[in-house]
Amino acid sequence: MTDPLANLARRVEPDPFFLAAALAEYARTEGLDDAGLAAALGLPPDRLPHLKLCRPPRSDHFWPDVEHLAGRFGIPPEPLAEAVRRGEAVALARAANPPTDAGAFLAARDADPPADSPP
Amino acid sequence: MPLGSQDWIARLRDPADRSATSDFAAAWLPELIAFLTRRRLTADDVLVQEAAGTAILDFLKAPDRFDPAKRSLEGYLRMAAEGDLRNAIQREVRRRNREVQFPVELDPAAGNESDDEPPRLDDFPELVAVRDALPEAERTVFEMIAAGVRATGPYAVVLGLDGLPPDEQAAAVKRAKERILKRFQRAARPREGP
Repeated sequence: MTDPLANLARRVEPDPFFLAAALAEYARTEGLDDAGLAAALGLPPDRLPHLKLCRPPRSDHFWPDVEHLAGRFGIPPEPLAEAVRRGEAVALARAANPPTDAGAFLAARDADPPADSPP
Repeated sequence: MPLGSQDWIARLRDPADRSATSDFAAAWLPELIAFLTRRRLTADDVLVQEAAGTAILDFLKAPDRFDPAKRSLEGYLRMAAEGDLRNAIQREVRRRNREVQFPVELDPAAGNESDDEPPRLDDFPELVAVRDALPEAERTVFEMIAAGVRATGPYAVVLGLDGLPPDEQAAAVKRAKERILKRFQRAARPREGP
């Protein structure tokens, strides 16, 4: 059986009450699985569920909260801040647009234009 | 030294402590899973994990619902987890048996025209009426009977009898099952005809 804490951390990914939500959005946009996400954050993979179950940084205390979390998990604060900011931005875009539109928007933003497309 | 309930509440109330939720889950999830496993309400590990997780998440979202004057944090979480597990067991039984076939032995006048398909409860309006009139717990018991559940424990949970000693529990479950099945047998009897 898989780790119960890892299952719980996966379960809260849709819930912005937990840091898992922003990290999951970031991982999706970057095409990262859990191992890739942990590596991007400089975190041992077995600690990722613990990080996901933390509260996200507050917008008005962003850096102190990021530094608190980074210090708690012994990781550099910059990649965590970048992941949270991008994850939350994607979540906002998703909330502001119907899911198909958000997906199309992100796909259009990220994809290279085909070679034969008109200028 | 594990934290006491007041320490946990203080940490969870502190807006600057962004890792309190994680520490709480890591501390309590294994304890609640172990507790529910010892209770032997189900052999389904997934349901046990989910119920323990639900109790923790509900607490993290609303820690002020816990009143330390009424019970310990451990007691509160265990009670919540057990309640969640009972609900999950009932939901799972319903899900598994949504299309359950009616036990053939209770259907003497089945009018079973096809040798290939056993009679179904939904083909007999008088039996459907009995089923639909059952209180929720008894309906779940019926669905468990029809699904072939044999162990006493799950029935005792559904009927709220799991606090009884094992022999009393078994007797009470047996009586409840017989009472429920008799209702179906009585409803099926008029179809037997002359």
